[in-house]
Amino acid sequence: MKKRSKFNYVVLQEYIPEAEKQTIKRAIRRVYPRVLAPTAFVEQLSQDLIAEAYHRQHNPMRHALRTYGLVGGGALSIAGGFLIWLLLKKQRVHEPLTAGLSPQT
Amino acid sequence: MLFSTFKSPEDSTVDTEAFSMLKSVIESLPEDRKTLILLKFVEEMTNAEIGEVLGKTEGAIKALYHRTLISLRKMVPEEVWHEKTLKI
Repeated sequence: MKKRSKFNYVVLQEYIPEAEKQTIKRAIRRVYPRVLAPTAFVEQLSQDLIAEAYHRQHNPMRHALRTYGLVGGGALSIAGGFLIWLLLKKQRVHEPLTAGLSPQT
Repeated sequence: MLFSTFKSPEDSTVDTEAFSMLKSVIESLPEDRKTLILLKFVEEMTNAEIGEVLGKTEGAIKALYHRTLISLRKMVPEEVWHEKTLKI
């Protein structure tokens, strides 16, 4: 078991009593009283946000870009796979020919 | 109402000066500290909620809150915090 140190630790951080924190809090709340937003503003904002969300979700340009991206990416993958297959096939065709041409000792 | 109806002109002046000083001190704080103080004291948000707003962890908010209080205490004369001055 670890032996406890004999020395008292010095607290480096400044301590603020809770009462003082509450005094500061009350003072700031006097300077910055809480203002509630008008009901009409909140309702208008919620309607605007719903309209914006709908517009973003049903954006035809975005839908088209997504479709073209998927199709294009798929086509590129297929083409790339086909190219790799062709290259490997050529390599296999050349290997038996070159094996036969090894220099005789 | 923030101010009492029955006040002497002297009391009103002290209130206005104290409020102005406190307001200017808070306005001079860095943006994150000012936001923290307002969200903590005025909007009464939790440290986690404030962390989401400011993009910091809860622990970072706690530390920032403590440092902000210490700097506020140093920047504002003690009499301004006094309850009689601000009539709180």
